Amino acid sequence: MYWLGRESGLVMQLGYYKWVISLLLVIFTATVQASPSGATDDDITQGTLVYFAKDQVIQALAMDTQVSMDVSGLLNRVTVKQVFINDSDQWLNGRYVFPLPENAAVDSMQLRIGDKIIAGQIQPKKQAEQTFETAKKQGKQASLLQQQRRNIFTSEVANLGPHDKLVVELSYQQTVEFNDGLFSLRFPMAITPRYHPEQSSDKDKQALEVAYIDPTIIPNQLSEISSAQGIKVSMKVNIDAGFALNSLDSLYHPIKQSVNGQRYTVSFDGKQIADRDFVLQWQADVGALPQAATFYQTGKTHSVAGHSDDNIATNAVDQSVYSLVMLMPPSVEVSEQHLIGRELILVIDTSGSMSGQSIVQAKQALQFAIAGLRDIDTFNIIEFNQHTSMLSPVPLTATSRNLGLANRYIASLEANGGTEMAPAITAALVDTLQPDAVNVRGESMLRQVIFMTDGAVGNEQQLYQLISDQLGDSRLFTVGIGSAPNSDFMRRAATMGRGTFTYIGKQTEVKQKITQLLTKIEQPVLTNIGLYYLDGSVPDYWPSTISDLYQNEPLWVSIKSPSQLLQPIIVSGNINGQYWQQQLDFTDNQPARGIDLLWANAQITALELYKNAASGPRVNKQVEALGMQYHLVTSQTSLVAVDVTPVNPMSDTTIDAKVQSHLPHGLQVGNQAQVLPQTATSSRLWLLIGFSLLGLGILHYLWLRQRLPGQVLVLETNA
Amino acid sequence: MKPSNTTTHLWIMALIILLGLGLIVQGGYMQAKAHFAQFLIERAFEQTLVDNQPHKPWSWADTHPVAKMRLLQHNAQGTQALGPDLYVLAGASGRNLAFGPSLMLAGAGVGEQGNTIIAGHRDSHFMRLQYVNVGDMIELYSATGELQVYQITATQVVHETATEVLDQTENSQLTLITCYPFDQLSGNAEYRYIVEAKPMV
Repeated sequence: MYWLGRESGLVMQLGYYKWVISLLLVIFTATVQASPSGATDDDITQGTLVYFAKDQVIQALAMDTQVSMDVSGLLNRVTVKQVFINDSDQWLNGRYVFPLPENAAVDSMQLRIGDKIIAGQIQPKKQAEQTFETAKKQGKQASLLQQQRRNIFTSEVANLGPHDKLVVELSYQQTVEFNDGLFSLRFPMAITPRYHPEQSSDKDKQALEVAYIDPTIIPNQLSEISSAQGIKVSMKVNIDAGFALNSLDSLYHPIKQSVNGQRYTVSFDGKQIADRDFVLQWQADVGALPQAATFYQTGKTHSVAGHSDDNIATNAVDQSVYSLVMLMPPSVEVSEQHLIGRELILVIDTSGSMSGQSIVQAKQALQFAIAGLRDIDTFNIIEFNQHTSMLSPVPLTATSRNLGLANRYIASLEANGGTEMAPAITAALVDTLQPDAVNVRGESMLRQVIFMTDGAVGNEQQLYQLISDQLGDSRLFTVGIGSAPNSDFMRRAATMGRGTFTYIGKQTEVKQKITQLLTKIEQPVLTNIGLYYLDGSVPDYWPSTISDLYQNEPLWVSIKSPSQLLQPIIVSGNINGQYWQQQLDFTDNQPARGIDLLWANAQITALELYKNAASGPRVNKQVEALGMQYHLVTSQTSLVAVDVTPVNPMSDTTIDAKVQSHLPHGLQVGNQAQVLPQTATSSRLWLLIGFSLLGLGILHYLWLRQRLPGQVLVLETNA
Repeated sequence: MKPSNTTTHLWIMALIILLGLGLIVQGGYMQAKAHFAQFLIERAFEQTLVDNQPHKPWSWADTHPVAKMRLLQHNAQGTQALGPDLYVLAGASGRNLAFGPSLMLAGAGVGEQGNTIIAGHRDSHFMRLQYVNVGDMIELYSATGELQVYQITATQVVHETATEVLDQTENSQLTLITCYPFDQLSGNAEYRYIVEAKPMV
């Protein structure tokens, strides 16, 4: 008996061993077989250009960029010269994807062939593409400048001869940033290879294919590589600020500077590799800060081109006056007593779509927001899925006891259920401020709603209506959570709620982004801003909805007035709950160029912000009309220049080449934040392991009962 | 010695069988959910077709059906439907994907101009994508009952970071996403199988 027991134990162990091994083998081979055959090297990442593709060498074009900027007061006129260099023995067509600042109004492009200059014409996007393709086929030299996204453009050249160069020169107009007494301008020089889903940019997929210099092929010491490769940028900036400067710095690039009276000149020390943005900052001497500045221009910069022969009516000269106003609201001293308390309503979406990483991020964001409260503030937390529930029926003061309560409440939140956003918005916007909710100096409190969601809703129009109806004195700030939030909805909800939209993509960004938002909105200076003439009529100004101004933020607005006569304009608003107004007389009006471009660009920005599936075609038409009228490169219009004489006899065989962008400095290839949705479960694996274990158990049972084939014999001989 | 030994064996056996049953229940639950939820979703979709209002397939749901999809394949016997009809939910969250193929809200809506993107699980609803060929047709019925027929123009395998397949396009297009390879058992896939289809006029 004893022997049998031992023996059987051994057999059993062996049996199990075999079984476990074979089971493991099954799983292992299944997994191994499943690994993709075609994509074995895992180094291929988005945007990386491989040199040899489909048995054909992809030519990389060399590119030389020369930037010159003219800063005059608060305006900046920039000219960018792109020199396409062909070092090969073949005819090439070149293409370069490059970024420009978001507020750039691109209005001119020239193609330079040797000494010849061909001015670019504005055409609707499709027509411009056709013009360019026709010229390409006919062997003519041509260039095309297109907008791909708000801040990403492409320039293309056709029929670039062997060992030859073509120069595309484009110009744009922008305003200088002015914040906290610090002027700054930014010239982007690298495109981050990351995709932000934006519904407003319905662009051709091909068009945005940025070719990056593959860091695995070209080592990082780009300076050692011959000048034929890589994008070199030279920069020259003339600054006529109108006052003496206190400091002038470039943040990321070495510069040389010289002064001549109040004119400053900055240039790069040699040429720089285009792998990080150029940022220049300057400060005025104390007391020289402008409180208001106005610029004007009569008529358009570009007269309407292209229709002079078939449309006589357009010859009438535009006599409108375009003006640009920069106004610094009176600064409010921030002392202990002046601090305005705020009522912070935090709304968190706990619907099922938030489950996973999103809810973790949102909870963290809530905790940081709560931690930033001061003792003069009150707060409340609203959670919603298909039901809406609140931390407390009335807002709580930020005492340590209440904060502890809130933290426990946050910890208990779980993502589950449906999304009924309307009741939550109503609950958040209900004015809970007590009439006597004032601070020590009798100033009324601020009411700010921070709304955290992934925006997965179906009834958007209804929600916009709700927000604009119920907003009152509250301000709505939306925070987008998760890898692919419905940012279109949230951006527009925030605009309607007179707040801002913040996007948090990664867990590591939560703290920084939330703190930034809360600090910025701590102290609004000017609210309910409006513009009107003395007789009460409203000028044609953009942006049409002006959001609140916070500490040290200037107000920028572009105005179009019908005639030579400049009427004074009243700017009104509320400071600390009290009515405030300032009359702009335009007495100190400085003539400037390119103001009409800024006006048109501001209007296009506003139009595209409110674009949706229903209004899309109409907005596109409006943008196209504005682009054509003001000679601007927009999402619907492009600039194209074509030489008259064909030069390339073999235009059919011309090879397409791309200029490769550098990866932004410090960026790791393959470390992308956003991924496609996970579309697999382990259900089949569980089933397989489950059935295997079940089989194993049954076999064991049979063995115990000695019913396995062969066992009976052993039993008999023993007996 | 023997009784205790037998008891141990019984215990081990019971444990293994329980564990096996547990895993079968878990895996089977996922499959069953994917399979049977489609009936509830179908019912909600039928209601939507009648009154043009979004209906939740079950009362605690976070989503509603937005489309009905049918894959058509050409072969010797003519045109045949590949698998039963699929009902598409709004929002490609992990939770929705467990019940049905889901429409990504970052893309265009069903029947809208632009890139309409639908993701689905490779081990349930979109398992059939491994059999489609370029030239096959996809019928997509919107919630208003309108039919758009698409023809498959390309299939490709991409890395999960290749988010350019989500880019908006000027012309209408249907993009189906599922995990790749189809016969991999574990749940964490690094590659995606992309089916691109253009509307037929």
